[in-house]
Amino acid sequence: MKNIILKNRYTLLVVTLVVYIGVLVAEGAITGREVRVFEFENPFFDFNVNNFEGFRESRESRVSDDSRSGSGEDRGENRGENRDDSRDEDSGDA
Amino acid sequence: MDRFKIVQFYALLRREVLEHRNLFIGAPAVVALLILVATFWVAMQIDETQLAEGLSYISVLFDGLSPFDMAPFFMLLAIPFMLTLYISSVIYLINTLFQDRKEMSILFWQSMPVSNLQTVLSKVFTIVIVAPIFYVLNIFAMYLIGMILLTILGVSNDVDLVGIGWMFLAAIASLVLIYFSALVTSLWLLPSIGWLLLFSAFAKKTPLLWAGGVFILVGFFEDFIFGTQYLADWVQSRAANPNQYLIFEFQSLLERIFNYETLFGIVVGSILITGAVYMRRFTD
Amino acid sequence: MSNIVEARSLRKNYGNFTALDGVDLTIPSGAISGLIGPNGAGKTTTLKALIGLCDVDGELSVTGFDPRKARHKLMEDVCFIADVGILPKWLKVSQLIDYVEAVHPRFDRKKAEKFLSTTDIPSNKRIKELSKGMVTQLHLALVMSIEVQLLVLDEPTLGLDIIYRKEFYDRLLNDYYDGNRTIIISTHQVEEIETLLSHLLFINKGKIVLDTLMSELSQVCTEVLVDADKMAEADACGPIHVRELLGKKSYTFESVLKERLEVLGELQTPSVADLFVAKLKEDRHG
Repeated sequence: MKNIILKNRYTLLVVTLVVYIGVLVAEGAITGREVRVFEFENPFFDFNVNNFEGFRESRESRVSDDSRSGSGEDRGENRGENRDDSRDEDSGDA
Repeated sequence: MDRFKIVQFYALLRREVLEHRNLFIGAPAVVALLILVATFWVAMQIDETQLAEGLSYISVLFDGLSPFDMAPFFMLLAIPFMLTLYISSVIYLINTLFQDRKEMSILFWQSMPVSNLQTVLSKVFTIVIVAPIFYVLNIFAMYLIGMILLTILGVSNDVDLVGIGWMFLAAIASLVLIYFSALVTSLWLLPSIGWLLLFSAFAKKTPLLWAGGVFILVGFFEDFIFGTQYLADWVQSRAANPNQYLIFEFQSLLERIFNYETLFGIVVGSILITGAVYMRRFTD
Repeated sequence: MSNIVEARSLRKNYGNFTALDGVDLTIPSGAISGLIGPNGAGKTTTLKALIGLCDVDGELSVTGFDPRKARHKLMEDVCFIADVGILPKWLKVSQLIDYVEAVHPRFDRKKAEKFLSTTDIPSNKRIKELSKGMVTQLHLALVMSIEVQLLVLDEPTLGLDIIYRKEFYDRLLNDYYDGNRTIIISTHQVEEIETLLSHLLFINKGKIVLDTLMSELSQVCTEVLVDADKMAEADACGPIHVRELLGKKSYTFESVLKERLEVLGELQTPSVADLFVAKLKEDRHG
């Protein structure tokens, strides 16, 4: 089998691509993949230089909220959490 | 890993940097120089009174604030460097396993007791770990020169620059964010790294055309054979949001690495990199 | 004497072209073997197969390793010089030495520097700035500083002038070869190496057509300057090649008893070059 795969560069390329596509299709089928844009929240993109003090205060209050409730939950940055939520929704729809 | 293997791997990394010093050292140096020149030119266009007010405001802005809290403000300046790094990475990855076959120096490299796995891994390591170090060093040099120029401007305009040291510390702290942004992005884009290396090792001519052409074809192939578009959805999900490519807070670093999508991408990237390792045996 | 290379039924095709067509060869340890053949005969393919740079079908063992499975382990014991010009052009001489020192466990830097001190090669020059002869000198200096069992040279003096060529072989024999190391040289410039060799391999159209120790050559091949009245008898002995020589004819025989040939004329051992031509022409005429 190894001799056939490594016979020449073309057979090796085809096998690599087949494995690559196979893994992606299998994963997509199992997880029900859809196009999803990952929203990592970024407060610095909302920054207004004229309201620097207000921004600082809002960051300080957010940092203290995070330290009370644990990181990532409220901000929804964790892809795993988003996926778990969406999978529950999908199975609900199915 | 024994000491000799470490020395060997270091020699492989050194070889990559020496061969591509234009991409890893020259390119970010040019970007840094352009930013400095542009900033200095803009400063010279501004009215002296406004310049003095602006410098005073900047010096007070960062005064007494934690550098790590203020570091993210410098990420905007990182964007041109990150773009340059991505373009340089594509050029590097698509050429690195192709060029030495084209000029036949592969016969020398493979006459040394270095395995194809070591060779390919050294190239992955160069892009993921080593190249960003040089970019960060160039940004540091830019910040240092910028701070000196700012100080000179401030003194010549009679402005009290008490906070400039804090600003510089925040800039230095941002370098850590920039480095980890590059690292996390490289792990996120490991499938792309693997894809480019695979076609760099495969193609006898025009590796970039091969990489792009086959990429489009496999999408059609999946649709034709399976009637699905998981590949296209996957690629689109990974490429869509520019926010994915920058880290603004240290707290999010581990989440960005240890999540399902990044880890699955590392698995897929590993498949393609393995293909590149085996492909390297074809030296013609 | 043990064999450092053992190959059976090596086959390699490039598309429709057959580069190796069932090559069998055995190279004894400590030999200086010449792999001689015309252009396109399969010399380079054979040598690349021996060091794992080319995948072939068949059985292959070099210093006890299968080059297809353990190339990087094999290369701790084997050095290779191809045609001039495979050294990476962008490296400086000093950087190249640093690299080899770091990656090869058997490289002796002091030896390399000593060899290079006898040349005009500056250490801060890039390889692309060196002449062809200097590049060969540099590569040879590196290779001679590595303690290995087998040295494989594929047309190492191609394109070099006579001074560099002579110096190359002088260094190889005087400074490197110690009777224990094995050297395999491929070339189509037969005259240059025939006095160096202890083992002779002719290859043509992907097949080995002669495999003999030089010490046994006189028993295997004989050249006879045949008198005019004995030519019919000489033809009947099945010569592999006949050529005109000073009004007489010179017949080359392979594996024919000397007692049978003595009556035909003056016997001598053919030169490697003459034997090479004879074997090629035998092959051409079937």
